[in-house]
Amino acid sequence: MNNPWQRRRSVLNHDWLKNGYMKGVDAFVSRLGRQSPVQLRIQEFLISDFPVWRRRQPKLQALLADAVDALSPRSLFDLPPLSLCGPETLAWLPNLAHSLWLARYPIKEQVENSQRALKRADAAYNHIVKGLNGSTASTDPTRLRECEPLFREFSKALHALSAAISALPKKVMVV
Amino acid sequence: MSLPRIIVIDDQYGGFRRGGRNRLRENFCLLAGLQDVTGDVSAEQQGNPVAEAVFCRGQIEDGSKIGNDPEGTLEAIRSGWRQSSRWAMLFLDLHFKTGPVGDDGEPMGVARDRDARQYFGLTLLERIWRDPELRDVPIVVLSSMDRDEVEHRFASDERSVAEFIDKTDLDRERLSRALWDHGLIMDDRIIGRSVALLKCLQEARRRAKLGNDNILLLGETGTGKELLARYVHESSCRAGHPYVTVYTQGVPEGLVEDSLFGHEKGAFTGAVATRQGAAENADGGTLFIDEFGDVPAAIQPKLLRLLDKNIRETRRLGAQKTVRLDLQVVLATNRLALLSSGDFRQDLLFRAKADEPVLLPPLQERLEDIPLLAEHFLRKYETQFKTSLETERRDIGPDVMDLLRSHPWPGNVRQLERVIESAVYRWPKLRRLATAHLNMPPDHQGAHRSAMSSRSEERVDVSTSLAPRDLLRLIDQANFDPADPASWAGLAPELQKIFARFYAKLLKAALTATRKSTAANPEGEIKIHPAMKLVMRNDKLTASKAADLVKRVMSLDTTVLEQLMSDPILSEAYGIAVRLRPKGGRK
Repeated sequence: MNNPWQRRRSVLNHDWLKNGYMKGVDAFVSRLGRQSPVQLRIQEFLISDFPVWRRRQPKLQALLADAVDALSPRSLFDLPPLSLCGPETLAWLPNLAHSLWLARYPIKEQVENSQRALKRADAAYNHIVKGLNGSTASTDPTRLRECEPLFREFSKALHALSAAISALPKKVMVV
Repeated sequence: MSLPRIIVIDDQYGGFRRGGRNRLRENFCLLAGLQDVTGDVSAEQQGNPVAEAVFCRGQIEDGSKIGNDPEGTLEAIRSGWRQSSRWAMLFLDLHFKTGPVGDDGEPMGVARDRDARQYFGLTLLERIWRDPELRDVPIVVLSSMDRDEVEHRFASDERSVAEFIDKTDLDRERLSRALWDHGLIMDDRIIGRSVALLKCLQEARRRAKLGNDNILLLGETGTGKELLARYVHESSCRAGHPYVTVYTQGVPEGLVEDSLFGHEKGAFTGAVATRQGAAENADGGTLFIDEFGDVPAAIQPKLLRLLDKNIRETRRLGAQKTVRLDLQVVLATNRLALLSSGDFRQDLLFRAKADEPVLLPPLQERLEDIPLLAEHFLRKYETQFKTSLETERRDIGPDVMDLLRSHPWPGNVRQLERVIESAVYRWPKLRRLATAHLNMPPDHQGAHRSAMSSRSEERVDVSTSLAPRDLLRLIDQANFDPADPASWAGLAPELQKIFARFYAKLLKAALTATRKSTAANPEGEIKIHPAMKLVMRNDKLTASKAADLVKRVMSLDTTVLEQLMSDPILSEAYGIAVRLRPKGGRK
């Protein structure tokens, strides 16, 4: 996995979102549903873990914004042997390869789908923050229970987002 | 029942985090229903966990760098596998991050870590598969990385992982299902935790999952085929529906056919009413044909359509029409060489799936189960005889276990059970069971040699006759159809004769077993009092009552009394009894 975009995706989607953040949200919802949830763990999540979304969301946005360029066969012309083509060829062939790829593969739709999923996840996050009166440090049990459906919605949106990002191509495709 | 124990090899969950906790692991455990028993960090208590989990990072920290540790990881797997609470399943991550430790305390990762061809998880997988000691460990790949590369890499390998599970998909339900489908899990219904037994149970569950298959259980006598058949039924979607057993061993051909398929009214003399066979009675559930290897040749063609799972048809004797059934069929035999014996229809064996039987291991291959089994039987008979013999609760001396483990047990678990049962009723008041209390089968070494030499061949030994208790159970399970008096009319006089002879044989065995040699009588003097105490399992039985019982046994049926009196032992016993109680006790 030498493609820098693929590495970025792996760190963001696999390491952070799938293995860490999503599990954290799901575990929080599960703890919230208990008869007497352990306050320490509820607080830990709300104060330390949950707000991380704010910092990571722009990175996910940037990842998706770069996806088409990074996954295009045009990027193959940046590396040998195709980078050794003459300037005249390089003036038209990379763009042609890119256009053909866009025509053949639904990459734009896939990226747009991921971006929509990201927006939905972000909206779900904002609903929770609003539900908590703007403060993620709120640990009032009654208010938290009221927000439980919002956390479930957020979890669902995160799962959809992660699946959409995972569905993007695993390597640069040749047309 | 103890919880199954799994090992999770994962860099993120296995690592020791700052503050003595690993929150990623805590969340994972909560969602998957795992009780963390690793002991390296403080663990959250789970309510009603599915399994216990030991987490292993698979890595080692060397100064400011973290690297993978295949040797240490393999040793951790081996050491847990050797324990009696061995891994029910191993969950293996693929991608392990290595390199210098960053500000967050985590390794920063190097390009090689993410190369699907070089995932450390795959290296470990290969090492585990190459290790003969670990060949039976069920492995599930637990990773959110792409699985294509893994599947391609091992496509031509005869080994396979049990399942791929995405980390985000593993919840309580998924974990329970994976354990049930592929795990080596103990079950209270069949005592034991040896790999041989647990693999057998795993295979039985796998086959039962289909719900409409023919499943052949193959095992030596006394290995628990009937118990396993019931386990198959209860593990399948047929649980809660009929479970019907047909015995074939020593049963006349006509009766086997009638009990399996039933008959129409008028099908034969005495068939005054239509009667359903066992196959029809099992519709919707499970039909268990015990001692399938003894099905008479004439019946074999008639079983073909019943064992064809696409047809499942049966026809009552004398009927024109067939009946379609929906059931699973479990067959059992101790004829280990059934497939090559040549005396069975090949097409029937094919339908019975004789080429892929569920193999029940002999007790010799389950030596580590002997302490559990001995303990189980001890408690069972202490409880059973509590009222009649006022048994004491006892422990088992270590020398007893050594002796039990060294015996070849040609009669397998059933034979072990008899030895323990006998020890309890012969010595009800003990608090410690010692070797002297065990009535071990004789010719220990000879039996051992015989068992070892015949294990690979078909056995001809005690298994060819029914054990007395099995016989009693068979009789006890007999049913009489009020609508079919021809099938049972006139049985009583015959039953009385058989019962009289049966009881007399029992008495003779007890008289012989309790004979005491003296100088005057090296063969042994007959004593009716200890003999009757043994037969009745009642140490409080008085001598006069014993004499009454002997007289009663001998007089159960006057038509066979003469025959019994021709036996010198029985005749002598009767003489003693009459001398002791010339008048009383006759009924």
